[in-house]
Amino acid sequence: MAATVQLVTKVWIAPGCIVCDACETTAPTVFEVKHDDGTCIIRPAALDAEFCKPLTPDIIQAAEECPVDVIKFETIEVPPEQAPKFAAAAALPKSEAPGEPAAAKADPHVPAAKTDAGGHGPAKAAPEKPAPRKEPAKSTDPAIAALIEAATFRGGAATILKSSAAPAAVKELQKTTPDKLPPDARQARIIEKSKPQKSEPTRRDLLSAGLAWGVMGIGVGLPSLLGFQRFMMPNVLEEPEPKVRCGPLSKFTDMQPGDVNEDFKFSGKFWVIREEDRIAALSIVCTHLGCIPSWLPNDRKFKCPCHGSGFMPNGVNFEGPAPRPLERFKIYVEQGQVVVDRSKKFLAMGPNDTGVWVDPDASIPV
Amino acid sequence: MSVIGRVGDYIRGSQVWGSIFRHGIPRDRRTRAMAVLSNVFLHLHPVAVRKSGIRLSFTWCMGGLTFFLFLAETVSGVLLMFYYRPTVEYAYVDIQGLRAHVTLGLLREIHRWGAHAMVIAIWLHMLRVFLTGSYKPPREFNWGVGVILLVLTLLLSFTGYLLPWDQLAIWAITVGSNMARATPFLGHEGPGASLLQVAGVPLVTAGSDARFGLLAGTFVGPNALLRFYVLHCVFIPLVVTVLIAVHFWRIRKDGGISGPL
Repeated sequence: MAATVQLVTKVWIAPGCIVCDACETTAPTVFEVKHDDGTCIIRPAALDAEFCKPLTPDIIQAAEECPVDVIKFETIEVPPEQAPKFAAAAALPKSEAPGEPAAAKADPHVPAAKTDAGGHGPAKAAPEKPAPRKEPAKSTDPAIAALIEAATFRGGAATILKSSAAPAAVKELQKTTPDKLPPDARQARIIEKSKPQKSEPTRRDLLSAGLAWGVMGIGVGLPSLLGFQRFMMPNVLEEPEPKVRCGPLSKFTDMQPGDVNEDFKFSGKFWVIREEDRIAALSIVCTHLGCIPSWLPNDRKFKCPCHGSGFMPNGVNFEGPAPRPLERFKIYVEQGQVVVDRSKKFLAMGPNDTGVWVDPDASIPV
Repeated sequence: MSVIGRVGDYIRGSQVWGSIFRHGIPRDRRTRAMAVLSNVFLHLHPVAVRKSGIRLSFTWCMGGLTFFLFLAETVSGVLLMFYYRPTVEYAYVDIQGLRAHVTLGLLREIHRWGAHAMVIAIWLHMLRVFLTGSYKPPREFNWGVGVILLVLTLLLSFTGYLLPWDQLAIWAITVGSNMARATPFLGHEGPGASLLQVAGVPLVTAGSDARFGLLAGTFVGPNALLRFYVLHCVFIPLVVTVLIAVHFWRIRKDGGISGPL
């Protein structure tokens, strides 16, 4: 801790305020943000040096927080021993409270209770246990005496925090505004608040924070993601059954090679064709841009009306822009019935790429 | 330097990172203030709040809880829209399907219970604001915004009530919308409606009053279902979203979160 204590004696606002409210939140008795005027002002009471001194930590904090650095202030340095005298001097004559919302700052200055009345050990003495009860308080100030008594009362500082259980004298103190508090109490608060802020986070802090956030992120995010993925996959479909029963096998074996059965063109979106040695199911969708070709029995070809693609009776493209043969569906015999399963396709990638049709699922041998 | 360190430096040095996180790690008070001010979501809020103002015993956290429930309702509601069709043919079946065969169809129950909780939380929030006197100037405008949000929340509840399309839904909305008949001047059975006529022809009839506009018909039918669906899923949530932004922003503009008296 520094050898001297800084006390603010003067505070003002430079041009450039962006009315962000930060300073008024930190030190409402000093700053007033005027939204209509587009700037922040110093409240009249805070133009007095003695008013500012006890509020030193709040003012410095507000200046640090100011995003545009328009809060300027002047300080004097006093040795810590003298600081209480300044504060004391500030407190005694300033009993008239200016009519302003200072009450917002009235909180029960708990550290004060722990300050020994005699030798006021500064900041680091704050958490020290109060004197035993039998040792009488040396202070002549009745307020301080009441605080000491409260702190040594059963329950100690907690008694003061819970105002309902606090002695009447303490309740009286809690109601008073900061500038009417006993000088020692205010000094203890100033010293407590002017301690350096928590130091920069260490590598260890950052790593453990990162680990904690990471674990939480994965722990919450991953199940949510998996749940979302699972939710988006429907369990029940309202779609036509991909398997189509086409009747007895003999119905198709009776066809001549090169013949096309158009019974399922519109109900099932496929043709059943007879080749020399097998029966297969062709998709009716043109491989060019997805139109529906027509089977022309006299020309013995499939002809697409959109761009003129032509396919031979086995589906192989031979004219027009279509890049590859018509697709084939899985076809098989089940209990004497021919079944076409449209969920599995066999794609030939070029006129000569008919190898995929050799797959046993792609046709029924005759 | 390790590979991870180099990758980290590369990411932090990139333009994308710098465009999103514009102020480094907020280690000091100044950077924290800047981080809030320069973030589109956070800048609606005050840069700093008084510790006493966010004490649980003071706020009950009911406003925050209402907002949380609104977010939960939005997320679960959007997901439910994937499995719900607002037609007389499918509405009831789809709700049953959510219970019967959709994985995590529990979302529907979450959505309903969350809606009840949101109505309770918003009333308690209003009660807290009243008891702490936080509606007083300069916060009186924000109280007004809050009252509108309360009404919209109740309307969200009301419109969502119809969507399951079961007997409870249909008759509840039938009874509820019958009240619109008695709207002064705008309901055909309401006071003053009979005064609105031109040359003896009444202007407000069963086919032109507030209830007719609400249901898009004279009884709770397919039009009402579609209308309530759009109101519930799109129209009211949009208005609520805008008003929530105003509500939060006004907290900042009206001097931050109110402190204990």
